This record gives sequence, C-alpha cells and structure tokens, in this order.
Amino acid sequence: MPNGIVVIDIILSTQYRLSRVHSTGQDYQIYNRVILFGAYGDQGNAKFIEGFGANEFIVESNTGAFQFRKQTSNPVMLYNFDKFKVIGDYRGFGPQIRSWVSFTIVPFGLHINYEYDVFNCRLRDCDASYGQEIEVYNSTELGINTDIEFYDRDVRTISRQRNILGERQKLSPTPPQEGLTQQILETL
Amino acid sequence: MAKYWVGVTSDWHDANNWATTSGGAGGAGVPTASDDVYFNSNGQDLVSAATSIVCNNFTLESNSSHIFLMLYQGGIINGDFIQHEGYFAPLGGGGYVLEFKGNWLYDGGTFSVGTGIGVDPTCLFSGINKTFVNNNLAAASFQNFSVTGTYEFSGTRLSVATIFQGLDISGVMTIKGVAQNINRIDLKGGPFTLSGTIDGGGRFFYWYKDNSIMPISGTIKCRYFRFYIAGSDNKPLNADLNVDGWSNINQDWAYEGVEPWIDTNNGDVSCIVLPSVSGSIGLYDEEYTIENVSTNDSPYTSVDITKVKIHLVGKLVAGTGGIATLVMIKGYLWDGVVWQDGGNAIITGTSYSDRTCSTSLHIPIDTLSKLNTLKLKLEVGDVIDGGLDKGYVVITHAYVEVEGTAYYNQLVILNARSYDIPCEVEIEYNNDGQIFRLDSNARHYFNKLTIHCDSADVDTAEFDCATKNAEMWCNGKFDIYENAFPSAVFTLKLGNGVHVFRQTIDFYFSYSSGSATQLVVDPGEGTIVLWPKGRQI
Repeated sequence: MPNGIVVIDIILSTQYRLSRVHSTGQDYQIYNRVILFGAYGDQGNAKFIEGFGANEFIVESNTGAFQFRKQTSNPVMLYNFDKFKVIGDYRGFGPQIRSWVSFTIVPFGLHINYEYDVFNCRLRDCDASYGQEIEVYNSTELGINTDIEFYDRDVRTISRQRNILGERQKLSPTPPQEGLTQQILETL
Repeated sequence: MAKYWVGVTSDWHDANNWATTSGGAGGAGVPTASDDVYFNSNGQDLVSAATSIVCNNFTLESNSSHIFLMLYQGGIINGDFIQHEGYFAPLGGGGYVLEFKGNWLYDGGTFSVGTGIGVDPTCLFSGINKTFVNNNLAAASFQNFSVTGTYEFSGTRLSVATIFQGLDISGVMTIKGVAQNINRIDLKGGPFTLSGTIDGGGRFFYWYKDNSIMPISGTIKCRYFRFYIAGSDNKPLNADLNVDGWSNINQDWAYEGVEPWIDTNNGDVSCIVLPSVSGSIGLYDEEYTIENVSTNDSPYTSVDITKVKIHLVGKLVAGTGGIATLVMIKGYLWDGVVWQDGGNAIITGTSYSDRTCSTSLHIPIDTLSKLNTLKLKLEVGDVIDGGLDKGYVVITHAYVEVEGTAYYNQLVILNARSYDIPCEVEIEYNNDGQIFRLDSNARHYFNKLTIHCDSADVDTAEFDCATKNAEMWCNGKFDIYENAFPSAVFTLKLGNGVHVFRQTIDFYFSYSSGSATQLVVDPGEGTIVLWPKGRQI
C-alpha cells in the first residue's frame, strides 16, 4: 500500500434491533411497513440482530450489504414478512441480502442465484417460507432479473449442498416501477 | 477604587457605610460603576439596597458569612461576581434586572433569587467569552434567567444553575462537559425562548411540564438535552352531569306511580299533579340516565370525590283551587348496586329556581366507574299546604353536581424542531403511566434519541407519535437505554407517518430488566425507512 496506509472498510456499520429478546421471553414486534433504503451513491450497510415482523418489507438500494441474523436456539426469533419486495438497481450489483452466521440448522428456502451476475440483487440464505408474497423487480429496464430458486423449507442444508425439491422458478422481469421509497422521501 | 463594606447602617446607598480599606473609616462614598466592592468580616450583617446598585467587581469574601445582602431593585455588576460566603438575595417581585457583565463564581454561601408579588427578578448574563462557575455545595437558584452574551457554565456541582421560571437565550450558553464530568443546567419552568445557541459537552435538563413549549428557533447542539417528564397528574373535577334528555323546559316527566296519587299533565305542560293530601306520598317517577364525566386527554384514571349532589330546577304551579307552599322531592342515585338516598330538594315558589338535594353522595359514589354509570330517580315526598287542589310541581331540569379531583396519566407534548449534531435528546420517564407525545403533524429532526427510565415504580410508559401524526427523522441512534425500564411495559406508538432512521435502532432494555419489562410497538399504518449511513462513493 502506498505510504503504508491500511484501509479497513467497515462492512456492516449500522445495527437494528427492532424487537427485544430477554432471558425469560421475547418481545416480538410487528411493524406495518419497513423500508430498507440505500440512496444513490450511499453505500450504507446494516444488520438486523433480532427477528421482527412486518406487513411489508421493501429493500431498495443500489448497493450495500444487509444481513439478518438467523434465529438462535433460544429464544427463537424469525423475520416474518407478509410481503417482501426487493428493488434492485442497474448501476451496481444491487443490495446483498443474506442471513448471518449462526447456530441454526433451519434451512432457508429462498435463494437467488447470483452467480449469473445478471441480477442486481443478491438474496442469499433467506427463509421465504413465511412470506405470502415475494416480489423482485428492477428499477429500470436496464436491469435484468436473475433466476430465483425456491427451496422447500424442510430441505436440509448439508455441507453447503442444497437439495432442490421444487422446480426452479424463473421470474420474468417486470416493467420498471417508480421507486416507492423515493416517493416517500421526496416529501421529506 | 476598592470599596469595603463597613456598614453601620444597612443602607448600600449610604456613603458612610463604605471605606477605601478593609475595616477602614467610613465615608468613602457609594460604589460607582468603576469601583470594586468587597464584603468581609467588617460591617453590619444586613445590607439592603432599596434602589439599583452598580459596581465593577463584586466580592463576598470567605470571611463574610455574616453578610445578608438584600437587593430590591437589581443593578449592574460590570466586572466579575465572586461569592465565597454570605447570603446573596435578590428579593422577589419588582420585575427588575440584575445584570452580570463579567465572570460569575460561586463557591460558598448562598445565592438565591427570591419570589414575590409580580414579576420576579431576571439575572442577565451579558458578558462576552465569560465563565459561570458554581463550585459550591449548594445549587444556585434563579427565577428568570437571560443570556445575551457568551458564557460557559461549569463547576464541581452536577447542576450548576437551577432556573425556576423562565429562560431566554439570545447569546450562547455553553454547558461544560468533559468525559464523565457532565455539568447541567436545570430549567424547571417556562417560558423558554431561544434565538441563540446552547452548546457544549454538558446536559440541558428540562423539567418538561404540561405547559412547557420548546422554542422552535435557535440552535441546540449541546451534547445532551434531556426531557424529564414532569407533567401534572391531576386537576380539579368540577362537573355538572346532565340528566340525559332532560335539559329543556318541555321535557316530560312521565308517570310511573300508583294511581291516583301522582299524575302528570302529559303534553303542553310537563308537571306532576299533586294529590289533595298533605304529608309524604312516597311514590316515585321513572329513572333517568346521566351523562358521563367528560373525557380528558389523557383519560382520567381515577377520581377523589368530595361532593355529589343532585340539583333540580323546578317551580310550583297553582291549580284551580290552590297551590302548595312547599313540595319535597327526594333524589336517588344508582351506584351500580343500590339506590343511594340523596336527600330532599325543597321546591317552593312559582318561578324556576335551582334547588339542591340535601345529601352529598360522594362517600358511596367514590369511583369514576360509579360516576359514569349513575342513574337518577325522583320521588315526591311531603306536600305542605295548598287546600284541596294543591296544584302542580314542574321539574324542568336536573343535573348532578360533582366536585373533587380527577387523576390521569401524565401527558406532555413536544412540538417539532431540530436538534443538531452532536445533541442526544433524552426522554426520561420517572412516574407511572407517563405519556410523551410528539406534536404538530410535523417532522421532528433528532440527532440521537434515547429513552430513559430507571424507576421501578413505572409500570407503563408510552411514546406517542400516533395521535398527532408526528414523524421522526433520527440522524443518529434511536435507543432505549440499556438499563431502562426495570419493570415496565413500554409502548411505542408509531402512527401513520413516515419515520426515517439513519443510524442504529436499538430497542433493547437489558437482561436484568426481567420479564415484567416489555416492549410493545403499535405500528399504525405508517412506514419506517431504515436508511443506514454509509460512505459516499
């Protein structure tokens, strides 16, 4: 490195605990709508460290890493979203959404195959089995949806080899939509 | 020139009470704006200034404990104010200003601004780049306080100034705080106006009450700004509870007796035809419901009742053969279990008059729920005089007079403004049932926002954005302090607005808080935007 400078990027800078877990129980909270928003050029990273619920959860970002800690053995806390929506962006790799290392053995059912490198959102190791609706689309016509593979919730994960029980699902790119978050933020 | 107090009388404005040397001969003249004033072991104890004073530096020396200085009309201290001992007492009332233009040091004795009739004194700090230092064991208490200059407030005490009535800052109030040594300014009453700046590493401690109003102008960027919830939890209850549907003159008092003793002239004249006998009749009319105690924000939780009395508005009407002199009407109130006897109202005369039943029922009717389920029953008692035809009695209006005290959960309301970096807004719950409400259907720009509560007496606490559709924009961390709420259910009402958080949210109490501590989120229909800060690409 020039001048001996070592640059350390803080990958996960912001931590959200929207529910509380204590030794004798849990306070599991359900919100109406939660938007995880990364503005243009703003590489904010975040992690969630306790489970919570939302009627609608939207991730809209150019880039950034968002991690959800998996449930631990006790107390059990899940991320439970009735409607989960990811809005990617053609400018970069899009947001990366994944679970965090933990001791859980519960498999996660939704996997977006990022290896094709054409989808602008990487959604990894997430359990979609609770969701009522999973919607993924790009914010402009320049983005291309990748393949999305659904896994059954009962699939075991063994040595990172996943058994695909269901047929691989491919979602067609939907027409570009105006970013919901932007509409809200424009009023701020 | 130095002027030493050698008073033989109490009058500040007596030239003979001042000397040019300590303990020297009097007669040096009354201190002027350029004179340095000293109080030490000399002179008489009581010093009184009936009109305003002026001096340069002002010093109560460490051997001046006998001095008791009373100011009636304020004054101007052009230089530094130093109090090592003695009693410095600007008296209350008068509406005067005591101006400090230099540094202010207080490390002994007593500094106390009094209260009186009228506007209490204002202590004005107008110096530029000066210091206010309280190293005393006692607090310095002020009534009205004004900073037009630039002052740093510090001291060995935690709270260096306690302001009871009002604060105006057009200059700069810097509250010192370094590491763990956090000084603070306590404001215990309004009004609070701010066109200047509050900054520094210390804490502004606002005892936030029902009528407290945060200024929306000026700059707040001190390290900590705490709202200590100090609302009232009761107010006098003085209500007249109307009898439902019975508040106008044509209301029919329908018959429900045993014939022939009571009858009503049903229709154009609402009245009871009195029977042609004297003495107690003992028959009663139908029962009526009574309106509830009017609602309060926040709702009443309990009442302490001192009076519950039935009022009847009525008159006597002549019949064809006479008119009664007096008719007793007995009122009963249903307390949920039995009819309670409220005593007699005596109806006399031929013009409408408000008559009160004799007995207050505040002892059996002692709860809010009983008050809100009251029913009324009336009974005609003795009829005195009147001949064969005793005429009629007309009751046009009835109500229940209630007096006492109503209790409710403390509710304080914060109007919207901005708090700048690095200010951490702290909200402290300290009593059970308190509600902290964000007002104004507007956006509140916080930097850091932290919820505190260290009282085990708090069973419930509420943070309310919902009622007024308030919105939060937190530039920094939104946090429930790690040891908050030892035993409480904390409810966060988010409402229907959009709340933006640009840094960590941590709804976390502590493992030691125990199972009684709970977080409840009432999400409304609103949106939370989590917008983590990141590096700019």
